[in-house]
Amino acid sequence: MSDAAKSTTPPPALLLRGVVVRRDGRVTLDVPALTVEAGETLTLVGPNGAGKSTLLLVAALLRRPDAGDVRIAGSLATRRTERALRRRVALVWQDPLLFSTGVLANAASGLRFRGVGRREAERRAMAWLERFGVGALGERPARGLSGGEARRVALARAFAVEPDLLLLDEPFAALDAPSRAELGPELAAHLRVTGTAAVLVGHDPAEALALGDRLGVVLAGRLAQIGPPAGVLARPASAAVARLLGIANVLPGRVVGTEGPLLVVDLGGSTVRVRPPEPAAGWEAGVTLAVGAARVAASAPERPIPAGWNALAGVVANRALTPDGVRLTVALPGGVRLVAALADSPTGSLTVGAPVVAAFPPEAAHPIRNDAPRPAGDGGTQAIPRR
Amino acid sequence: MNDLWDGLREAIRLLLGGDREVWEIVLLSLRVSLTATGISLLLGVPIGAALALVRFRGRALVVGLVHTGMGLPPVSVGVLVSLLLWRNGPLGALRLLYTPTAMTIAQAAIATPIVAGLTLAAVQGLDPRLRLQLVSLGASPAQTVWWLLREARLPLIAAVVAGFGAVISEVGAAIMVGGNIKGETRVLTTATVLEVGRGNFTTAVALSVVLLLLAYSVTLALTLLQQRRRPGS
Amino acid sequence: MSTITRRAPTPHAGFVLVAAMIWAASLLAPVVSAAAQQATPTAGARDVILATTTSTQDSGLLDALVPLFNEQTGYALKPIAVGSGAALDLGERGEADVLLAHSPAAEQAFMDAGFGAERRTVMYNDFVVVGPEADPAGIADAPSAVEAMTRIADAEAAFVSRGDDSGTHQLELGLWEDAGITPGGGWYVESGTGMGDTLNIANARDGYTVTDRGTYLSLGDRLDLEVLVEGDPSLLNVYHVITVDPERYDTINAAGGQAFLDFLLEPATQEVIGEFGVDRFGEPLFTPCADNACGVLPSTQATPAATPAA
Repeated sequence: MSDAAKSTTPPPALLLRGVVVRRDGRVTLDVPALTVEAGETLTLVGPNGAGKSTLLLVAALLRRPDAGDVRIAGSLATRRTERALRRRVALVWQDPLLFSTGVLANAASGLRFRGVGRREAERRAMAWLERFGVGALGERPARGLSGGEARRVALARAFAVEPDLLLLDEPFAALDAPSRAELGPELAAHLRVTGTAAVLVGHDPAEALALGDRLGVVLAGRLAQIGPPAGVLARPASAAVARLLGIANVLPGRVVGTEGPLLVVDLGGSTVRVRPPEPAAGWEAGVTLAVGAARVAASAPERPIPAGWNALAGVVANRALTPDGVRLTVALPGGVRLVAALADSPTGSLTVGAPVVAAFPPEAAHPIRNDAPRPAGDGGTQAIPRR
Repeated sequence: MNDLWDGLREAIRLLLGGDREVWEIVLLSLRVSLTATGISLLLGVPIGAALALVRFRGRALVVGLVHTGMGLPPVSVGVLVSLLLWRNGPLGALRLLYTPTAMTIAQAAIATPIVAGLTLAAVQGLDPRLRLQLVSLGASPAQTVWWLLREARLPLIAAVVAGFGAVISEVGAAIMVGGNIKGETRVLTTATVLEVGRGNFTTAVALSVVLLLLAYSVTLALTLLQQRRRPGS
Repeated sequence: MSTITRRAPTPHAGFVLVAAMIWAASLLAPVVSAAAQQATPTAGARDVILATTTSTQDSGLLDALVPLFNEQTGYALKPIAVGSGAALDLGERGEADVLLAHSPAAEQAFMDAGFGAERRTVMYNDFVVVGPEADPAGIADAPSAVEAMTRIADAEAAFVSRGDDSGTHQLELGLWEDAGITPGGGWYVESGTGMGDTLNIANARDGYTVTDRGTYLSLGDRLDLEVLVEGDPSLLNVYHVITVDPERYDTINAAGGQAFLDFLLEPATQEVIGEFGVDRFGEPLFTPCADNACGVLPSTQATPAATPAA
């Protein structure tokens, strides 16, 4: 898909340059550069109030930035062009915000605004309602729908205008887990089939990771990190990014030495070896380790540990069942706690208070320099691509 | 109490008996007040919508004026319109004083601030994001305003009811600019005043009952229209 | 809830608005067509505005006379019922073409100031002093109306005045003046309303008031008030018709005003006036008296201010 798109080199669906938004004199959004290629899905995550929704408003040409340019499908947005460009973008809000008309009239509204005749608009809108499985609701008043139905109608309304760029603000918020699990892949499929570029904002990293071609992390009005989801997850640029992405173990440590390509890090008394993404030389003392819970193994002390792994002895501090298995919290000496997600396995002996050994390979821990220019900010290897 | 019962009976007799004069008065009342309400909609809804949606210098001042106008005493409006329409007044050449048109003008002046004020409240009461949603769906400013008004239609119908209720029941302006001329500008309220002056309390009660019935049926029709659209919940 | 299939109603606010407009427009249609039909005598000159006292309207006399006049002359008379004072004021401003008033002193001043063209006596009825049957001020045997007023003031018995600058109010004030009394205090109430309301207030407060006989009769059994003083010449209520001087405003419908003046003085009209009210009250409410033919007025008042044009 993206290869085909590149061969004809369509302009990026969205291009932000030097965009700054201030509110009450305070900078709430500062994006030096951001590109969303045609057909690409970019997922943005960040805590509430980080500026994600402001970024969407700017991209939807609903909020003029105080500085910087916005280009939609290659065209610069100006006062004169913004209404025409707005019609190449569709925005789906956190609330479905349906109008108090019938479902079909809602879905057709965008087309009607574009001057499409009622019959044609309703025909095209109905096709999208059907694709989202709510075609049967056509004549119902939109204000009486369930949350899931309303969300589907809002999505159909957005897709019906065949936008170059679809902006989605927490499209799954307030949906129950099954609806969420259903709607996510559907949405992804429609984006793929139509080749629509999308920016999807969410605060649930799991959702974001499932949907995007690229993942951006927004912190305090800035893009802290952006890149392929797997890369961002494996190599978070800062402790804050790591925590936001839901990495269970974000551990402060101290570099005490090197061992070949590996760094030797002291975690409050326990020593571990980790593989840095760049040469081990030149690391300062302060470091943060990000270790995914799934990469940590835990077993009774007598069980063997694979060679080269870090083995840390402690006791089970907590044990929680999850749909995927068990989540053990291991208390290490020195007060450090390590979380291990275990697939359902012979862990019967690992009850709370039992001695345990937590283990992970050196490459499972991603060290983050504490002396990065802006600890909570936009450092990191995957920082914004500049073109 | 007897007056009341006699009045009720008389009201029924006047209406069912097809008393021509009473029916003329009823129809004129309807014509004048509905037309005035219609004009107040044409003027008040755009004013109210503009005040709700457009930020401009002095907006608070205008909003204050509209809100004051909502409580404008009909007699004051009557005096102003009379001054304008007097033969030797600025609009005297139109020869409108003591005509139903003059009454319509005065009543429209009474109802317009009411409709404007309630439209303002209705549109401001909408989810502010609805406007952004409309704009993001590609609506032009005119389309945005139109759809927002559609979203606010329930309170807007209430505005119509309030405007109509204010003018159908007012007497001060109607008697001043209409003159209460039999067969020409006599409406239910002015006729009621006259009958009280004449000591015909039974007729006055009857006319009041007719006025109530009239106001009630128009209001009921609008309310039914309003409630019919409410999604079941 | 979800088992019921609700159809989204099709007509929306726009439809309602449009429907309302159509309705309003259809209601306007008769006005337009009526305006188009105004052909006699000439468009614009057809309307004649009569400013008159409320008593002529309240008594129903106008309802009897106006259709006759319109039918006979082709004019459209628009009677505006206000107090005598306001009627004269409308004439002074040129907002009325012809006046029917019963406030002789103010009328004379109006003529003297040159606002009127012609003033003619039309009819009279009489005022009466009414009060509660108990008659706390003892005015029933008063030799004159002025003496009755003096007794009311001395007794500080409740008295309700119109207080609205109407002809009736003027006459009442004249009586006080003749009695050398400036009424005031808790016993003297100004209603600020028409005769009917004033009578009702007097009735509720067991007070005295001065009223025209017609309104008193028309209220009938409703009142517990009795006629206590009547027949005094100072209680005569004489109506004059006055045409407004057309020289002062070119908007005056002089011909129309003149036509109404002539109409009121015609023998046939005078006869209608003389019979008005008989069917309802058993006695007439007004006595016709064109140009003081009945001789009711003292000669000083009877002289028309201007020579009647034949």
